[in-house]
Amino acid sequence: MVQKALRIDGLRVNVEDKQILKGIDLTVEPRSVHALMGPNGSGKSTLAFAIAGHPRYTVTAGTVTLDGEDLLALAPDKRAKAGLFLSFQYPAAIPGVSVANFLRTARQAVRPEDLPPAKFRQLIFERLDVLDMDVALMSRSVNDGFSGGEKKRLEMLQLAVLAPKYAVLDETDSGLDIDALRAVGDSVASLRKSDEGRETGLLVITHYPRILQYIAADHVHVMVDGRIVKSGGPELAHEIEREGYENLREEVAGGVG
Amino acid sequence: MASASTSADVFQGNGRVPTRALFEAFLEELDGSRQATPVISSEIRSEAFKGFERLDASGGKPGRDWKHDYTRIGTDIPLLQRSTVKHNAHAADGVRFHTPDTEGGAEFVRTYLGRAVHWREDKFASLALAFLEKAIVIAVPAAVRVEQPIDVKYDASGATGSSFPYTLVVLEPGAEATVVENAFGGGAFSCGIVEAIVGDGARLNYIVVQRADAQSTVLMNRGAVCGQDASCHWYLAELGGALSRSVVSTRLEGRGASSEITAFFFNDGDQHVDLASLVEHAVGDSTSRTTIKSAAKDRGQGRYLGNIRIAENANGSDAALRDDALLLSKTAHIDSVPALEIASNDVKAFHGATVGSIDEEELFYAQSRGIERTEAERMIALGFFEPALSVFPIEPVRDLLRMQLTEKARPAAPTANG
Repeated sequence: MVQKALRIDGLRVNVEDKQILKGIDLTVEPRSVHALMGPNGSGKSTLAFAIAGHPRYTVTAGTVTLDGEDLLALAPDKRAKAGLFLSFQYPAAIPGVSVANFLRTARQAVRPEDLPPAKFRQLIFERLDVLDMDVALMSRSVNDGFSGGEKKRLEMLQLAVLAPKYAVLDETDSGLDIDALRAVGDSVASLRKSDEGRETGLLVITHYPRILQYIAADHVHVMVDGRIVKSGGPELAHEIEREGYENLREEVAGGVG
Repeated sequence: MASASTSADVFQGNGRVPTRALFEAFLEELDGSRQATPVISSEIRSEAFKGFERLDASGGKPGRDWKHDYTRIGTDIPLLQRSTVKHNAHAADGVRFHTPDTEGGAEFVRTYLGRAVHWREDKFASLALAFLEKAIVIAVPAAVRVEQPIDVKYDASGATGSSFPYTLVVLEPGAEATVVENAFGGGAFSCGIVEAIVGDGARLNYIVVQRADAQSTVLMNRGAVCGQDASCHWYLAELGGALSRSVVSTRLEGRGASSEITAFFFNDGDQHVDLASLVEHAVGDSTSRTTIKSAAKDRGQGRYLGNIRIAENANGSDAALRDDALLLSKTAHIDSVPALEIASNDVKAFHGATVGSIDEEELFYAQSRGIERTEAERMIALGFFEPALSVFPIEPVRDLLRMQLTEKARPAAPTANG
């Protein structure tokens, strides 16, 4: 029997012929929360885009599977249908397409069998409430003219509405104030409480350990220069909070030398 | 609304004939008819026809991939057909609706003809006038506000002939009305004029939903003149026809007058649309907003010529022209040529234009939410029109337009030969 997990093995990724990821191994199990930390430019976002299938990122070696299914063979929309979700650091604006229309279309694409309209509306209202968002947002164009915080909240709303098997949150905390961070934490917590999102495995990509006060990570990995250089429990995040990434860089340099 | 019976050949049969021969036959038949006071004289018709033969199409030659040669258009046309015009204007609302046969109608036409559309300067407006057969006049008396939209339907579904509609809208001072021109069918060849006279303080909304048959040629020239504190808003949705050439203009002649033009087209298959807008600020303290959205897919070809003219001493004019074009295939093409001609110093004038294809980051974002690429493209293309579409003032019209655009945005129309 196939082990249920989002499983990344030996992943190497190029962007325009430059190798960014130099062999990543990482397994996110259902219900687990993995934090991937690292300094700017270490390749964290590249990992997120490569998993989601952005055409600019070329996988040169390795595999990514979702509950045994080969994600790398699939178009981006098929990856989402398989149960993957990416929360973007910089979500694109789609002028003239309302949030309501976008959410409905996405939900129908990912879970075609499901929710009658009344229940869908109820779900949206619940999530808007958790995220402290105004219902007027539903008639606005997707991310068009949104503030940074509004964009991140809309990503969280989509996470809640699509309730994927595995979600990669790429720097969801960047640019957020404490209230917004708390809303993001509450959103993940409420996802956990829902029937659909109880099992969602999370890969939380972040530069700062701050978000981990709101989303408790079971595992922490540190990426430097396209490699995971250290993995551990929540205590690793505290270590980074105290000492920054410099020690880890030195450890890596020492290890190599 | 039976038309006068005629046995002349110009109203019968199929196929195309040289336009000059058709015009001569048409004049003969007019001379033989019992019309005591024709709407326009044979002399004017003849002058107009000569103008048609002499003038080049305004705007010059369209792009190199165009299948339609403007030097040829209209040299052979199908025989004349009598189109039907339906309307819902009610005398109870204060609207007076005339055809030239009815009392007062011809008088209106004689008074205002050429006031808003300078037919002598335009090849196809000249042609429309030469053959003008059925004119309708919508007149709203001073200070009357017509609540219900006035629907005017030109229906020539299934017809194969040529038609030359002429519509005159006269809003007397302080009057308000919304006119919806719904043209479908349209016959094989349709060439017409719409003139709007918007009196001081009057407000006109004029909506055009052009849904001609797929094989049709539609050549329309629409113009408005606005008095002091008057406003005219043109809403144009160019959806049908093999070739649509649509010229729209507003001339602001009184202080405080304002013009809005909101127009879009979406060419699929082998459709060609040639759209031109002109706003003239003849006096100062006048305002204009022009918003154009155009898209083309398959082998669609489009051109937009946008002109804002601010006259000398029209200080305090405020003009903005915004036009965006979206290309959805490698074989589709849109030329976009906005221009400002400003002869005053103290004015605000803005124009911005974009031409591009769908942004890959938008596509990826939608795809990452499970939406298939073709569906994402469709969604983004429809979203592109939304800012123009959402200002159309009547909900059923908006619904109809959304439906039509959705249909057009579906992937891969079959080829013309296929």
